[in-house]
Amino acid sequence: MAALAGKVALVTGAASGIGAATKALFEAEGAKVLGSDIRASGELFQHDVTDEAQWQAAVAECVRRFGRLDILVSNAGTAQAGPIVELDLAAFRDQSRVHVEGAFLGMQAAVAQMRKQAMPATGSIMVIASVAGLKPIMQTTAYGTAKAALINMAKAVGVELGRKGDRIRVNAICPGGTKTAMTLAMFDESYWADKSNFADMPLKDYCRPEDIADACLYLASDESEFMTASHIVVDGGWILSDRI
Amino acid sequence: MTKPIAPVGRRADRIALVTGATSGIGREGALWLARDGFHLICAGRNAERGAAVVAAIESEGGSAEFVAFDITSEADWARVTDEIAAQHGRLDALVNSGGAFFSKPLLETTLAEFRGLWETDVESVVLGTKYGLRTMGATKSGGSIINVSSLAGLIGLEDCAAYCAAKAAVTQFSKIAAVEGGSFDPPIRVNSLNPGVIYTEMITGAYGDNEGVKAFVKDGNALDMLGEARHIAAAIRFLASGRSRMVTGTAHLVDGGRGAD
Repeated sequence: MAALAGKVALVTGAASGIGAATKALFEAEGAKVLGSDIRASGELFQHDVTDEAQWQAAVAECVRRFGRLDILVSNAGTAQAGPIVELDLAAFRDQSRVHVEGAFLGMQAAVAQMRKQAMPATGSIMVIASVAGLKPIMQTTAYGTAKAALINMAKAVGVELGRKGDRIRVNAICPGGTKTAMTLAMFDESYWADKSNFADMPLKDYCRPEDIADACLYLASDESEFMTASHIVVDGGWILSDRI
Repeated sequence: MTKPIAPVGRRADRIALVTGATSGIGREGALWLARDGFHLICAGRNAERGAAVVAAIESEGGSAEFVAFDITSEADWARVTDEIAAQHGRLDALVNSGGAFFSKPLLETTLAEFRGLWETDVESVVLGTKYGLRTMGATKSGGSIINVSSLAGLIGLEDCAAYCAAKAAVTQFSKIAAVEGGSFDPPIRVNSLNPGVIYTEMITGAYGDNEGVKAFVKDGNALDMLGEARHIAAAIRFLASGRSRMVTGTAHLVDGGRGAD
């Protein structure tokens, strides 16, 4: 059965991790997917999400290849960790630009395209935020701040589009610790193999990229057509833990 | 409408217990879970309506049975879940959907009315979660408990003090239960499901079933869409499935954007 048959999606940060898993799942569910990445290779589209013109180009490429755009997964992101006194303004701005400005530009480009396709416009936009945007996680000052802004922006845009009569839904997904290329650069294999690192979490495990992709599928499908300006936490209950 | 998302980990012997299954969100949730291959135990008070739900599930090729019990009675929860353990040897999903609603200004709300709603909407969920965890734990089922709360458990709604207090209690209780659920092997997930205003018998019973009420319900949403039971059934389906394997302790808000502004 194909839950996304006939739909076209744009997934950013699709070279690895959550983006790659989401692209693969969407394709398995019948969608046509343009994957983009700042380090693109093969069929992936070269895309720096902080560049407005490159967003226009990515959406145009989606339309050129597949004729339309129904789903945007704004996933591209970078990690940051360190004490605030050592955090320079450039690094702080980098986090804001990739996560907040990147999603801002993406939503603008996607909504403009969706409105060309139908009235009322339909579609589903999801931003990959983080548990770090909901609760303070030590030494993620810039990352957590950017993710919190991202979650609230998604809700604001969800309300705005709904009130303007669009049937474009906007939601955030907040993963907890997920083993990806991004987090492996911060925590090596031995961290993920050590179960004691996850013992405080109700489900006592970390997330796989596929777990986040599953939530994306739910938000991308018409089954969740009444869900907007909301967020889904996928973290094994980590947010409930008093350990940060 | 695209095709439904294919279920993950589908097994013919998965068992789901849904309270409030004879109407509204509970009934629709039971139908959706049955389509995913769960055997449904539909709980409710009205045997006639219960038989109708079972018939509806069976007419689609599903498998279901009706059980009448009082969800505010601990003895009934113990009896019913013991029967499930004995007959089926497992419990994979529990949807605590049974509950009540009334709207009244605080100064007109009696303590008896407040307590009545607390018993129906909070104590039933506390008991259900307790016996759900016990049964899923003893049968090593893992499983997912879905406590139907409300947007009213996250924000205040006019003239709904008792209901908002009760649903806030359900929302927070579910987070605490999720922490305890994690101590079982395999772990048991617990989430609250917080629908916005959904056009079901609960709303029409309180406000009437007419175009005016329908417009009032719809106009509060950010989306120009009437919230229907199927929208919440989709969330029940997600939270009961392996697709939400790492989702626990969350308040799953499906409200058409009503609560965000």
